[in-house]
This record gives sequence, C-alpha cells and structure tokens, in this order.
Amino acid sequence: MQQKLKLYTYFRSSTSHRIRIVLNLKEIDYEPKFVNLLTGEHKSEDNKEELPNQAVPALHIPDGTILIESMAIAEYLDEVYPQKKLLPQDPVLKAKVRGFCELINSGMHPYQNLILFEWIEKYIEKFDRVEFVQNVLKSEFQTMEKLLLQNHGKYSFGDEITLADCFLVPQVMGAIARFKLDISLFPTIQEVYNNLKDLPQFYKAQPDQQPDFK
Amino acid sequence: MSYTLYGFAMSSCTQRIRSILNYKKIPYTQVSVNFLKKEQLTEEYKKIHPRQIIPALVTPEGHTLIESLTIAEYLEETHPEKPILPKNKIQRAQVRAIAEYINSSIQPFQHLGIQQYINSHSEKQLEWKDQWTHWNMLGISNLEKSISRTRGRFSVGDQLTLADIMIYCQIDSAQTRFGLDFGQYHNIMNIYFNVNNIKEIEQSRGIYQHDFPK
Repeated sequence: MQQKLKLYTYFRSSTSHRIRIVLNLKEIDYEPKFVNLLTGEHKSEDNKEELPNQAVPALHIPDGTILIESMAIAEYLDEVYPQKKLLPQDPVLKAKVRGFCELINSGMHPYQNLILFEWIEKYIEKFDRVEFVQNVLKSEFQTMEKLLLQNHGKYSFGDEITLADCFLVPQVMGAIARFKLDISLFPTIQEVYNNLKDLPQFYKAQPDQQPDFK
Repeated sequence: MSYTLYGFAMSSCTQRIRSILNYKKIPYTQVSVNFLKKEQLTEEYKKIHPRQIIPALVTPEGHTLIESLTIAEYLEETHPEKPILPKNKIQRAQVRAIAEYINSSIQPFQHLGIQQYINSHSEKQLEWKDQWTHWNMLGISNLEKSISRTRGRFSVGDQLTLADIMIYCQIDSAQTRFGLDFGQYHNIMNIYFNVNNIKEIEQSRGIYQHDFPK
C-alpha cells in the first residue's frame, strides 16, 4: 500500500491552512502531524529532522523528501496532482494568480509572523501587535480589493477556484479573528470570501475544524 | 518591441529580474523608479503597479507583471532557453522553497517601515543597518543549513537556478548597502562566487546601472 503524504501543520498557522485547502481541493489523502507552535514544538530537538526550517507547513513525501514553504509546496502539489488544477494554463493569467498569492505570502503575511513580533518586542515594551498589523496591512487589503475588483467572478479570478483563493481565505480569516479586520470595508473581498469559506473543502481546512484546535 | 523593466539600481528585487533577462538574453529597456526620491509614489507609477513597489515588468504585448518571483516564473515559462528551474519536480520545489524563503522571510523584514514604526514607539532607537544585520544573518544561516542538503555546484544540484540568483542578489544587496559579512557561511558564499562567475549575472548588479546613486 502506498504511503500517504504527511503534512506537519498547526491549526492556526495561516500557511498550513493554505496547504490543507489545496490538499482538500485535490482530494489528496494525507496524514496530518500536529505541531504546537505555542509550546515551541517546532523548535524542539525531536522535530529537528521533520521540520528542517523549524516551521510549518512541512510536507513529507513517501520517498523521504521534505518540502517546505507554502508557495513551493502548493506549486509541487499542482504539478504532481493535476486533478483540480489551481493555476491557469495561460501564462499571463497564471502570473496574475501567482502575483496575488505573493501579495499575501510576501507582502502581508510576514508582518504577522511571530518571529517578527518577538523581535519588535525587544524594542517596544508595550508592543500592540494588533495595532501594528492593522497599520501595516491596511493598504495591502486595499490593494487586494483593487485586484479582486479587476479580476473576480464567483471567486478571486473568474468562476473557477484558483490558488489565489487558497491564499485569500486563510489571510482574511486570520485577519478577522486575530487582527480585528473589518471586512465590510472591502466589499469585493467580502463577497469572494463568503463564496469560498463555506465550501466543504475550505470549511474542513479552517482552524476551528482541525483536530488540534484549542 | 521588447520588455520594459521598471525598477531601480539599489533594488535587489529589480536585480533578480535584470539578472534573469540578461541570462536568458531577453531584450528589454529599463525605466528608473528611484525610491530614494520616492518616485514609486507618483500617480504615473500607481497606474503601473497598484502597490507602488518595484519591480514591474511590462511585456511586449502590453501586460503588466508584478512580484519578482511571479515575473521570474513567467519568463521561465515563456522563454525556456537557459532554464532557471530544474525539470525534476522535487528539485523545482526545493528551488522555489529557497526563493520563497528569501522573498518572504528575509527581504520583507528589511522594510524601512518597520524601523520607522519601532523608532516612533520606542525610546530605544533602531539603526536600519542593525535591522538588516539581524534578519540577513538569521535568514542566511538558515539557508546555509538547508542548502547543505541539496547543493552541488549550485544550491540545488549542479545547474544554476532561480534559487542561486535569489541568493546572489540578497548577498550582493546586503554587502553593497551595509557592508554585511557572510564569510562564515561557506555553502552560501561558495554559491555566491559560482554565480558571480556568470558574466551576464555579475553584470546585472546595481552598481553598474546608470541610476545607481553616486
């Protein structure tokens, strides 16, 4: 019997959330391995081999290879499991979808990263994480709204689900839950988000539906 | 008609794209968007890039592409000669992981906005050089470990890939801007020197561009 993929994941990790959605959309059977970031399990000696970058997500392939970085993992899954393609064929449209994912991956998510907060706290005694993130992300959500206005259908890009949707939902869900995002300020984001979040593949991937949810 | 690259000599993200265009011998012209003079904030540039950051690449057909990694992937797909991604899907994922790590876990943390936020909220002032030093040393030391598992002559195997271009531009930028010393990272510096020997990439450095500040 072929071994399953193993996904090292934490329920609240936005980057793990993206990959849980991708795996669900492609109906790929996998074994979740839960890593508690709050108690520092990602940094423990026990996980040194399993989590080479001390972070989630990490995808273990049956041949023993460990893949990291959510964007790289997502592209790999889309190449190896072509059912329910998440990147369009047309290079220009593909670039638009990837560009949207990168807006989130490198333009927004880093500024919510725990390692950044811990470093800033060395300088600012009473660091208000929520205020900082709201400050930094306000213009990024405005850009996201603009991009969706130009490209959306039922979903982020037209009426087919793409990788952009797998990045959008975790980013928005996390911003609402942890950083008091008022999504009504961004009507197109809200519309697309509402069309996506209750689809079973998305719903089953969300943090409060995970076995390690606390 | 050729490509138009909007960027700046001091931008490592622009250097990545210039390196790829030169390596693949793709004709292009450059338009300087000097972020020291805040030229990215003009209404004119806003029409090109909704987030008003650099680089942006306009194709001969008139499509505007944003996000350096997205642009890199587009150029690789549409100009497959002198490839910068391996054919093997696992190696592709490993190359993308290195590229994504630099793009989302080193480069964003250099953002001047973070320094400005800290200094406006704290008596303990942060020098921008110290911010760069912290995130580059941390990030490069992590990469040093991960590429020890994948490297040959270059960071993944024996052929130049996007991962090497990313490493090269990051090291070059940190060395040129703030004189950071990565000598202790032998794998990384070995890659750096191997890339530096590739004429088209070495000559893509910011210091050779006409808009490099005197």
